Amino acid sequence: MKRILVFMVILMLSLSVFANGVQEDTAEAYPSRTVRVIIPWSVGGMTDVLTRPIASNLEKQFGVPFVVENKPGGGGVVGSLEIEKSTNDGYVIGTTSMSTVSAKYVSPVYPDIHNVDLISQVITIPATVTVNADSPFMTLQDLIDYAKANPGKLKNSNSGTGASAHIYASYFEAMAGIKVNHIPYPGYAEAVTALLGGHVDMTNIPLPDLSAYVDSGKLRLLAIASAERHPAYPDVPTLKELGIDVVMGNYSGFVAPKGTDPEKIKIIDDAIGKAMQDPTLRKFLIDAGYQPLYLDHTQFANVITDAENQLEYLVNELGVEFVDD
Amino acid sequence: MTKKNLDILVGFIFFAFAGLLFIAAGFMPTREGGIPALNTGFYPRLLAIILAVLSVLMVLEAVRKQADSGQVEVWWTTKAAMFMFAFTIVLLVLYPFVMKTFGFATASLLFITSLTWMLSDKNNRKPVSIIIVSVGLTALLYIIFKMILAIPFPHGMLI
Amino acid sequence: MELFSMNLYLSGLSHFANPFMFLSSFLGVLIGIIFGALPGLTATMTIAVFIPFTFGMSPYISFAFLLGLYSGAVYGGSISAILINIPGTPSAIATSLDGYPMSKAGRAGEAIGISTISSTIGGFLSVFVLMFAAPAIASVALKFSAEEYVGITLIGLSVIAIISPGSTIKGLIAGVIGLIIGIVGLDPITGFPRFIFGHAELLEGIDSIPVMIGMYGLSEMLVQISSAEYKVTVEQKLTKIVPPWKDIKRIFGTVIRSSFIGVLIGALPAAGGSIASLVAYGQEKRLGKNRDLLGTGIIEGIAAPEAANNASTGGALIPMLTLGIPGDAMTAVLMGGLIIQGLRPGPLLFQQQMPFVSSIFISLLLSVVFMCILGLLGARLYAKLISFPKKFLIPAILVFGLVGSYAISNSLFDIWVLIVSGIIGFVFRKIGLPIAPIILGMILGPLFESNFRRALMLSEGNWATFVQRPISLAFIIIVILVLAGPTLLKSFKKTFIHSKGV
Repeated sequence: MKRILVFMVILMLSLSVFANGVQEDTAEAYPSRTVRVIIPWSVGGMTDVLTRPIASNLEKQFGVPFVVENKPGGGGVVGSLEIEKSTNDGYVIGTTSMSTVSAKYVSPVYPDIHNVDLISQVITIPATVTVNADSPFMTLQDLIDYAKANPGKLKNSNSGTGASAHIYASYFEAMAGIKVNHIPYPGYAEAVTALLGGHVDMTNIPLPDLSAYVDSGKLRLLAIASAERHPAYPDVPTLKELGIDVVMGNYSGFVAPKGTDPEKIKIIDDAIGKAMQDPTLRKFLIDAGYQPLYLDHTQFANVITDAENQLEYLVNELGVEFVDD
Repeated sequence: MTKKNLDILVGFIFFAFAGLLFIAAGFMPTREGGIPALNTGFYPRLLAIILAVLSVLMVLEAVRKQADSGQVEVWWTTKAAMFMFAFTIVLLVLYPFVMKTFGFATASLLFITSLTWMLSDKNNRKPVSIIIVSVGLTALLYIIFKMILAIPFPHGMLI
Repeated sequence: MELFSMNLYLSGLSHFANPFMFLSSFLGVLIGIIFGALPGLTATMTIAVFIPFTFGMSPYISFAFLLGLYSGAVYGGSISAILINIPGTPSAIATSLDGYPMSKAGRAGEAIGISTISSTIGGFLSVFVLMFAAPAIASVALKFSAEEYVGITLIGLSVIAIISPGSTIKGLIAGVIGLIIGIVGLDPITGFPRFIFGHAELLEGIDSIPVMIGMYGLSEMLVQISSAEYKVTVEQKLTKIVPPWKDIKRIFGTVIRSSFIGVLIGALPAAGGSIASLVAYGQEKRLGKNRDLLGTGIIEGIAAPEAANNASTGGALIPMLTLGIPGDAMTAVLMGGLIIQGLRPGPLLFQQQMPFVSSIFISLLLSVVFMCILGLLGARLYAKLISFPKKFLIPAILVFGLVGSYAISNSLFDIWVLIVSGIIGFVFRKIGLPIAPIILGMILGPLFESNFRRALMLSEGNWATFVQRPISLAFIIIVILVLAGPTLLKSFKKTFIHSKGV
C-alpha cells in the first residue's frame, strides 16, 4: 500500500514538472494556456465578487482556465505592484479601481496606472449624498444650508483617510462650498454602520453599499453623483441637476502588465465585452448591487484621465490634503 | 548569569527601546491647533512612556528580589542542541529563497528531509522511513495547498 | 410581528429533505475541523479558499457547507492550541493557557473532550439566541459607537493584565510590546505611514496570524530543539474523552456564563471571538471557584474560552444577517459568499429570503451536532497524533507554519514575519516574558487606538464623552473592577470587619 502511494506521488510530481515545462506559445492561438487574474483585494471583497463570475465566463469562451489569484494588502497597493511586475506575455491580467490612481496622494509606496495597459471597464459605482432616515435633512438644500450655518459640524463617515469615500467627501465639500468633519472608519461597512447607528450625520459612500438600507427605509438618498439618474432610484436627483457640478465615483476594470501585445489585449477586451452582454452575468451583477457598464480600452482610458484630472484638481487647485506628511 | 541580572539587563534594553520609540514618534507630523491626542505621534509616545515606566518597575522588582533566584534558564542544554538550533534557523531562512527559485514543493521536501535527518538519532537513522515520511508529508502539503486550496505559489523552476 | 412568526423557523425545513444538505454540512464540519486544527491554516483562510467552490451550488447547500466549515474551523483551532500550543485562531489563545499544560500532563484527550462539550453547549446557545433575539441584539449593537468600542477593548486589555502567569509587570510589558507592534502601518486616522520602512506589505500593519504562528508554534519548536526535548514524547492517556457527569456539572456554570459573554461580544462588529474568549477567561479568573488554579491546566480554563469562542460564531452572524455588517474577519468572508450567491445580507434578507434565513438556522444547528460527534470521535486520534516521534512532528509543524503563512495573503513577506516572530518569541520565552499578551495586544491595539481617536473626533475633543455615554461608563467601571477588584474587595472587607469589630 505504502509503495503504491509513493509511486503515485512520484508520478504526480513528475507529471506536474512536465506540465510546467510545456509552455510554448503559438501566436495564432491566444490564449492557449492558463491565464492568471490577479485581484489586489481579498476573497469575498467587492472586486473579488464581481471578477470571479467574469473570469469563469472568459473560461467558457476560451476553453482555458482563468485562475483568480487574490493578492491583498496595503489597500490594493501590494497586488497592483504585483501586476506591474508580472510578465507581459498576455497570460497575466489584473483588476484595477480608482485607488490605483489615488494611491500616489496617500501612500508612500504606490502603483501607477500608467505602468499597466488598460483592457476594459466593467462596472461603474456612483458616489452619493446619504443621510439616516431619521435625519432632519429632507433635501440636499437642507443639508447644505445647515452646513453653511454650522461649518465643520456635520460629521461625515468615510472609508479611511485618503480612501475613496474620503476623496468623494472632499470633492463634494469643495464643490458645495461647505466644511464637514471627516470621520474615518476602516471600510465601507463600518462607515455605513456609523450612519445607521446615528453616530454621524451623512456619508458619500457609493450606492452599492447603501442600496439595501435605502430600500429598507433606514437610510435616505439625498443625491447621487452620476451623470444621469439611477434607473432603480428615479426620484433621486443627481448633484448636477441640483447645481453642484460633481460627477464622481469608482469603477472596476481589467488591466494587463505594460507592454502586453495589443492584439492580445484586444482579444481579452472583446471577450469581456461579450461576457458583459451575457444576461445571467448581468443579472448577477445587478442583483449583487453593481451597475454594469462595459467600456473598451479606449473609453476606459478617458475614465481614468477624468479620475486623474479630478484628483489633480482637488489636490493642486483646491489644496486638499488627504494625509499628513 | 543569574535571573536577577538578566531581568535588570532586559529592563534596561526595554527602557532604551522605549526611548527610541519616543524619539521616533517625535518625527511624526502634528496638526496645528488640533486636539493633541489626534496627532499621529500621540499614541506611540504614550506607549513609549508606559513601556519606560514598566521597564523601570521591572528593574526595581529584580533588584528587590535580593540575590535569591538561581541561575538563568540555559539557552542551550548541550553544544549539540545549540548546533541543532542554528541549523534549524538556517533552514528556515533558506526556505523562502528556495521556494522562490525552485517552487514550494521542492522547498518543503528539502526542509522536511534535512530537518528530520538531523533530528534523528545518529545511531538510529532509518533513511527509508525518513524519505517516506518526507515525501508523504510533501505530497500532503501539495494536495492540501496546491490542489485543494489552489494557493498561487511562486512559479519556481521546479514545483 | 413578521420576524417572529414560526414561518421563519420552519420555512427552510423542506430543503433538508435533500440529503445533500446533511452531507454538505457534515463535510463542511469535517474539513473545517481538520483545517482549523492544522497549524498554519486558519479559520478565515479555510472559509476564504472554499468560497469559490460554492460558486454554482444552490445557496442552501453552499451555506450548509460554509457554516459547517465556520463552526468546524473555529472549534478545530482549539485542538492545535491544546495539543501543540499553536492557537488555530486568535480566539483560541485563551484555550492554550490551560489546554497545553493539560496536554503536557498527558491529558490531551480529556482536554479535547471538555473543549468539545463546552463548544457544543456554547454553539447551541448561540444558535438559539440568533434565532430568537437577532434583531433585538442587532439594534443594540448599532448603538455602540467609538466610545463603547474603546470600553470593550479596554476590558480586553485589562484581562491581559490579570491572566499572565508569573510577574504581572512582565505580562504588562509583553502586552505593551504587542500594542507597539500594532502601531506599524498606516495611521488609522491621519493616514501617515508609521514604521513601514518602505514595505508596501506593512501598510495595513503586520498580520497577526503569522506572528501568532511564529511566537507560539515556531518558538515552541525552537525551545524543544534547543533543549534537546525533542527526544521525549509525552505519553497520552486516552481514557475520559467523553467527560464524566461530575466534570460536566463542575463546568456547567462556567459554560453558561461564558456562552452569554460569547454571543453578546461576538455580536459586536469587529470585536468578535478573540475578545469574547478573553473576557470569558478573565471572568473565570475573577469569579470562578478554582480561579487560583487557572493557568495550571484545569478544565474550567478550557471550558470558559471554548464556550465563548463557539458562542461567538452565532453572535457574529447576527450583525451580518440582520445589518449586512460582518462581526469578524470570518463572517466578512462568509458575507462575500452570500453576495456571490446573489443574496444581499442586510435588513431585507429576513423579509425577502425567509426560507434561506431559516435554513441558515437549521444548518448551524446541524453543524453544532456534527461538531460534537466528530469532536468526540476524533479526540482519540488527535491525541494520538502528538504521540508521533518528535523528529517527524517538529518538521511537519514547521513546514505547515511556513506554507500557511505564505497562503494568508499569498506573499513571501509573511514567511519572514513568521521567522522573525519565532526568533523573538524564543528569546521572550527564555527571558520569561509571556506570549499571549503580545498577540492580544497586537490585535486589540489598533482597535483601541482608532476608536479612541475616532471618539475624540466625534466629540470634537471632549474627553468627557467616555463617561457621559452610559454604556461606555459602565465598561470603564468594569475595567476598574477587573483591575482593582480584589484590592478594592479586600479594603472593603477590612473596613467593614474593622467597623464591626469596633
